[in-house]
Parts: sequence; C-alpha cells; structure tokens
Amino acid sequence: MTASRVGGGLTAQGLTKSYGGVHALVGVDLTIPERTIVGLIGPNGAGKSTLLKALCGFVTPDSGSVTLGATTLSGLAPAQIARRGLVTTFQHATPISGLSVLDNILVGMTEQHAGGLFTALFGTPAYRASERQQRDRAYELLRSFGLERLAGLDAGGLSFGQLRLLEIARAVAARPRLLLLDEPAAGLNRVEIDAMVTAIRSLRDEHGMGVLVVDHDVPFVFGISNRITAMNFGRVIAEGPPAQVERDSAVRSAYLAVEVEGGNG
Amino acid sequence: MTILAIGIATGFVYALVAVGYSLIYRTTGIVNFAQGAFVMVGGMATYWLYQEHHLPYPLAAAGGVLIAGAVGGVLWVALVSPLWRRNSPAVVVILATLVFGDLVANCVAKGISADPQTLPPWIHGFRVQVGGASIDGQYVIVIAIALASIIGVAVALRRSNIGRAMRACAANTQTSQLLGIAPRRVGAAAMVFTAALAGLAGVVFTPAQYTDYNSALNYGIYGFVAATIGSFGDLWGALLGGILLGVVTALTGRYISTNYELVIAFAILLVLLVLRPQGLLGRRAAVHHT
Repeated sequence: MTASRVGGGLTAQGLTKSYGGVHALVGVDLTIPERTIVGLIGPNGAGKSTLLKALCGFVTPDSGSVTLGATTLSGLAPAQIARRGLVTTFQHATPISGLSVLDNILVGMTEQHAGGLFTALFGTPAYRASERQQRDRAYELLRSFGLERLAGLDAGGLSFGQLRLLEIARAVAARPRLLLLDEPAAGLNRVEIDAMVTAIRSLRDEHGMGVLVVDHDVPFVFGISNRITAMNFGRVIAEGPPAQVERDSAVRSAYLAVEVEGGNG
Repeated sequence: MTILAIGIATGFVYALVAVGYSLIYRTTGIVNFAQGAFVMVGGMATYWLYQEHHLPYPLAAAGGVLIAGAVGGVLWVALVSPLWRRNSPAVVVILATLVFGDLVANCVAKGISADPQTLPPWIHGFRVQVGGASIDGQYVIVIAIALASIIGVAVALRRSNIGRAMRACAANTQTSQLLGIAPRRVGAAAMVFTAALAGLAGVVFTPAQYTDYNSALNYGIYGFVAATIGSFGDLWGALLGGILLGVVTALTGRYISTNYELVIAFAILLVLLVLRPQGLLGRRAAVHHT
C-alpha cells in the first residue's frame, strides 16, 4: 500500500481517438497525481467526454496508454478498471432504481465483501460478520454525505442534488484511488454546490484520493482544483496551476472569453 | 382433489424453471431455452448415479443438482460468454441455448438412457389425505422444496452481496460496471445457480412421475410460458404463472385429453401476449440489456 502511494497517480500518454474523420482526441497527455484535484475544462466538443470514456474503459482509444500507479489500465474492461482503483461517475445521475439508497452504497462495496454465493446462501458466521461490517461502513458513508435519513428509500425517488451526492458516496464506497467526476455541479443550486465542494475536498484530504473534476462551472472548477488541464479540438491547450491557466491566452480565447460573453448576454 | 395437487406440484416445477428464465433474463438480457434441459439433467443424473453407480440416494440427489449446475457452467463458458464477447445478436445467443439444450438431451439419451426413468420416493409410504383423496406424498415434498427454494432465492437477492450485484446489474448495467461489477461474472453466477435450481426441480420431481431426455423440451416450453404469464423477470409472477399453468394443464389432461395440454398452454400464452404483454403481475415493459 505504501509503495503504491508513491507515484500512485494516473498517467495517460498520447491518447488518440477518431470517429470517421472526426478527431475526438489527438495525442492527449494527462497526469493526475495522488491526493490532488485536477480540473478538466474545455468548450463543448473539446473531447472531454471522449477522454473520460477512454479512461474508464467505455471507449477504446486508437493509440496511447493509461496507467494508474504501476498498473496498466489500457485494454481492460470497465469493471476491471474500476476494480483496479479508477471509479467514474457520469454527468447524467444514474441511481440503481429499485434498490434502496443503502443498497446502492452496498453495491459499491461488492468487491470488498468477503462472502461468496454459497457462504451467503448458508449464512455462515464469516459471511454475516462481513455483511454487518459493510452495513456499518455504508451507514457511516451515508452520514458523512448527509444522506442517512434516506437510507431505506428507493434510490429512484431522490431529488437531483441528493442523487449526485449518493453517486459520489457510492463511488467512494468502492474505495477508489482515483475518482473521475463528470459535471458534479451541473444542475445544482448554490447551497448544493457548496456541499459538493466540501464533499470533493474531503475525498482528497480525508480519503487520500486523486480526483478529476470535469465541469462547465468555471468558478467552481478553478476554486476547487490544484491543477487545471484545458482542452480544445481534441488537444490539451494548457496545463498548470489555476492562476496560470486562467491567464493563458489560448484558454481565454477558446473558453473563458466565450463564458464571459455568455455571462454578459 | 388429487388432480389439483398434482397440478400444483407440477406448477411449482414450472415455477422453478420460470425463476431461472427470469433471473437470466434480468441479469443478462438472454432468454435461455436450455433451462428445461437442466431439469431433465437433474433427474437423469441422479438416476445414473443411484441406479448405475449405486451411490447412496441422498448423495446421488446432491450429485444430480451439482451436475445440472455444471452443465449450466459449460453452457456459459462454451457458448454464451464467447458469443456475448463478440456482441452477437440476441437471437443468435437464444438459438445457441436452444441447440445446446437439444444436444444435452441427446447426450443423455445416448450416454445414460433413452427410456423414461424414475426414482424411489424420498419417504417410503408417505401419503397425504386431502378431502378424502390419498395423494402421493412426493408431490407434497416437491411443493415444500420448491417453495423453500423460491423464498431462498428472494431472500438471497435482497440480502446477499451477489444478489445485490445481480439486481444492480439488471437495473443499471453501465453504473454497475463503473463500480467494478462485471456483467459477465454476474451472468455466469446466475447461469450456474439457476441451472442447479432447475436440476433440483428434476431431482425432487422425478420420483413423483418420471423423466426422460424428451422432457427437457417440455420443461423448457412450460417454464417459458409460466415466466411469460407472470411477467418475465418477476419472482412471484413466475411462481403464480407456474401454479396457474400446472393446474390448467393437469385439468386439461384429466378432463379433455393429455394431447391438448401443450395446445392449451400455447393458447394461454398467445392470449396473454395480446391482452397483457407485461404479464399478470407486470407493471411495465421489461428492461432490455445487451
């Protein structure tokens, strides 16, 4: 564990993906050191979504490599990538409907459960101990995300803000080393965004995770991130601390200027 | 009264097959027509271990269940998993299960016996008096074992980690994958488990009647109709569908002709498909996953 913490971050090198004639990714490099929040910005169509899907395994890049610490993730299936410590939540809130809020969290913990099918069927003491331990941890997580009152409800019935928090709590339940969050603040009001900022900071500071935040809300991303990567037309156009990227002329013309115009209009 | 009891017991066997159809469909999106072959394998493998290899009866019965589960594992590893990996159309996978079931039936006919075989009752001389009629106690044992199995499945789906993974995979495959739950591993577990469950149905039902390699197709069809009656994918619907179908076919066999049992079953299926395609207990269309 100690060894993997040294240089346990994510390194993507030369990721390229084309759809027909459209170059969605062109030689993209991305580094997410551990215990670091990296913000990924870029206008619509810049390639952010394709990059996320390439990292979590839903898209196979034409070339390039992805490693997490010493583990190569390229070529693995989404579930294998998740089991190796890279967990992703996507823009559209996706409750596992029909399961309670508590069960949603427990599903996130499936990999850490000591029990198998047969121990579960016969309810062995070891299985029951593992189950009890998981439930305790699940309640603890729900408490830290302010969701414990909702534990017994069907996850399909939550409000949008509650769902976003549940998704992140469920992702944390899987004990990732790196969490990719696709537009975690989209559709949230100011109070909910503040709760989200606190939650994401605690992932880094208390759970020791690296986090990639992809979002359109520029003040939110720049406020929360240690480093920023900016993309346009499938390429990385700037990378560095927020203050530096904010001054970058390519970024200003590609993205921030558009935002400012949009804000005035 | 006797005919009703036989109908209900047969219905419970159909229900176990229907539960298999439902679980596989919910977790993988595949309709597994080999489900009926597992029932037959359970009965015939137990006969083979008990009569030809002279194993003690309880051991032979346990062996029958395990062999049925193993045949399910073979189906998964040899056919479904490779086809799935290649993104084959659902109809190809479904056809593959149908052919596999037929292949298994033929292997049993050649390798074990082509004749109908039966097994001793679990409790000798056990008969139950219901309303003046004396019913073979084995039918009561069938009902008890099947009911306990279905309740066990329901509890396991709610309370166990694998059950939760199956339900999660059925409800939202993509999110489950992002949490590290591989649909293929869940599918493999569901296949082996439901094959063993169908095998158990064959093991406990064979002493009440008989089993031969041909019965694979019958169990497959009746189980499919039962699953459809009760809304494909719903556990209690499968039970209700199985019992309804068991009773209706038993009454048909008794008062009309056994030749019409299948006709009536298909008639029920067609009427339901037109009038209530979501099944008796279904509230919405089943979710598709490929």
